[in-house]
Amino acid sequence: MNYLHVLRKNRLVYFGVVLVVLVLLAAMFAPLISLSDPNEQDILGRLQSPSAQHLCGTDKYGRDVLSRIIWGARPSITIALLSMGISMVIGVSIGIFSAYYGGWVDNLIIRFVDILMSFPTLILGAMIAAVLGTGFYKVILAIGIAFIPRFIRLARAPTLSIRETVYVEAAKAVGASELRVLVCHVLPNAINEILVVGTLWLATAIRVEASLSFLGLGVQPPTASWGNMIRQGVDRLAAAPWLAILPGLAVLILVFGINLVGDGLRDVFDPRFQSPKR
Amino acid sequence: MGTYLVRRLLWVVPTVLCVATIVFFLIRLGAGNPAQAILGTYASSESLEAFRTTMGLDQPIIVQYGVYLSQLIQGDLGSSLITGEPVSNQIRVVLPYTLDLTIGGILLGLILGIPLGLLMALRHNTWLDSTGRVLSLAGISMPAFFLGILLLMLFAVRLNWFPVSGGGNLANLPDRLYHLALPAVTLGLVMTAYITRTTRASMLNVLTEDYVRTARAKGAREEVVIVRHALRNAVIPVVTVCGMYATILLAISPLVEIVFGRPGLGRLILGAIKQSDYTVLQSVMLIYAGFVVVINLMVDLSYSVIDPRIRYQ
Repeated sequence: MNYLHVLRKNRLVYFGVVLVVLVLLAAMFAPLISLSDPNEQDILGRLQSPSAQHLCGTDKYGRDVLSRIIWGARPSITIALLSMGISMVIGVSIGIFSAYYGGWVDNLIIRFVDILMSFPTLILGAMIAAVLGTGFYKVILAIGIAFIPRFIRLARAPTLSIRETVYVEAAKAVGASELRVLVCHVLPNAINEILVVGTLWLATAIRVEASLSFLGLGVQPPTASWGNMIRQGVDRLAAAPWLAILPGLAVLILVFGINLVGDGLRDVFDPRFQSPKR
Repeated sequence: MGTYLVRRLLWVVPTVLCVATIVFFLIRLGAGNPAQAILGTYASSESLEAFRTTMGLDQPIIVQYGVYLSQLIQGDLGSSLITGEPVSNQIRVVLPYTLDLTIGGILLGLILGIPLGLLMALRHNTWLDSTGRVLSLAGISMPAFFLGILLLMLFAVRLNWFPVSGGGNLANLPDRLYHLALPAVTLGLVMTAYITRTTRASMLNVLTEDYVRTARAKGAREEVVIVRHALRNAVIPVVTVCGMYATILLAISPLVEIVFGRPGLGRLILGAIKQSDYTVLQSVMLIYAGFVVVINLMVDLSYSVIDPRIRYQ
């Protein structure tokens, strides 16, 4: 209740929620709201500036840009959610196991994680994408793998303190198996913190996806994704600026929305420390 | 301090070797087929085989790894699979452009970000603070390439103040800066957003500390309290995150290089990825890793300058 009270005072969080929900709804109901097929070409009507018929204009193949932006939300959101899901499951499992048992394996893992974490997520993602190849599922894997070290790190910290608590000792004393202690006692107590930060990393994941697609390492045309739409728009900045700017705004709105919510949540959980760390 | 420095420097060696190993095996395990990529889809199997033999790609992976490591230890990064040119030459050509860009972005971020963050903390909970918070959050939410595109549109395409693309002539300083301006401002604004937020948060924490109250109580002038007592302490976390953000700037520099058509490490690595040029790819990754290690080292060492309480054993 206390959390809700603090959240209620923060108008910006509401604004963030509205932005995110709007984008999510648009993505979900894309077939209902987009006026035309995002891949339908109309060569005669190419590169039209925004008008009543095409609210966001048309691209070099005469495709409706608004429809493509709406449909483009789908790969961005799906990739971000699935990649975060994969890396959360793998990273948190490794992190909890490693921190709980400690020892040389833990030492080795944490050294390895530190080295991997010295690479920014985008570079790591680009390298993995280069190894795996491009395409929808490979991008999910690339971003997912790139985030695993972060989740290992994230899960370690609470596990280290939970390991020492009385209730873990009690559970062991009554004969609970190691697995039971981990799954029923350590994980539920660590998960809140992990979920909050994990949600924030969605914003980073969306930006990384857009960047990879922009670099040509992500979702491949003709499938619309915000990143590859911007890439195509860059070639025609002078003649058709809306091609790059509008999908860019879409990325900005979604990421900004998530960050607003995240900022508010951080204020709630730790009012003293408003870190921008991502 | 001396022994600490030596130990830190020695630690660089295993780190870089570890990165080299990870990168090497990741790339070799990948799906890429350099022979096919270079000779084309219609190359005969004999020519593919011949290419692999010349480039040593037909050797067992462990042998290739050994060759790679021994070359690396001698400071030889190998030759490009595509052009046959030594990779170190290629890197030497583009490195100044990337360094200009990243260093320019960091400096701009510090010059703008620290005063802005300080101002916001001093005007806590006023309209200036709220506006700054929203703008800086928008700044970190904005994909760098999108910011670059907006600047490019406005200042290069519409107003014609700056060049639309290219890296300029390195020997000619005005031309170099002229081409650097927009890309560096792009990275600089991203950096400013990060630095502003960190400075503000850190300053707000410090301003509630006892020593700030003590300084005020003993009658120190407000400027002295802010600059000597508060800011000096508030800057320590800024330095830490500055190192972290410097690596992030390095990571997004390829995006900016693409938007502004600038040569640089990012363009080099992307080209290598698309052409499956293993040697260039692994070398540039190694250079990135080297940068990260050096940045982290510099951050650690700068602590003792900023905060005399920190003494390394």
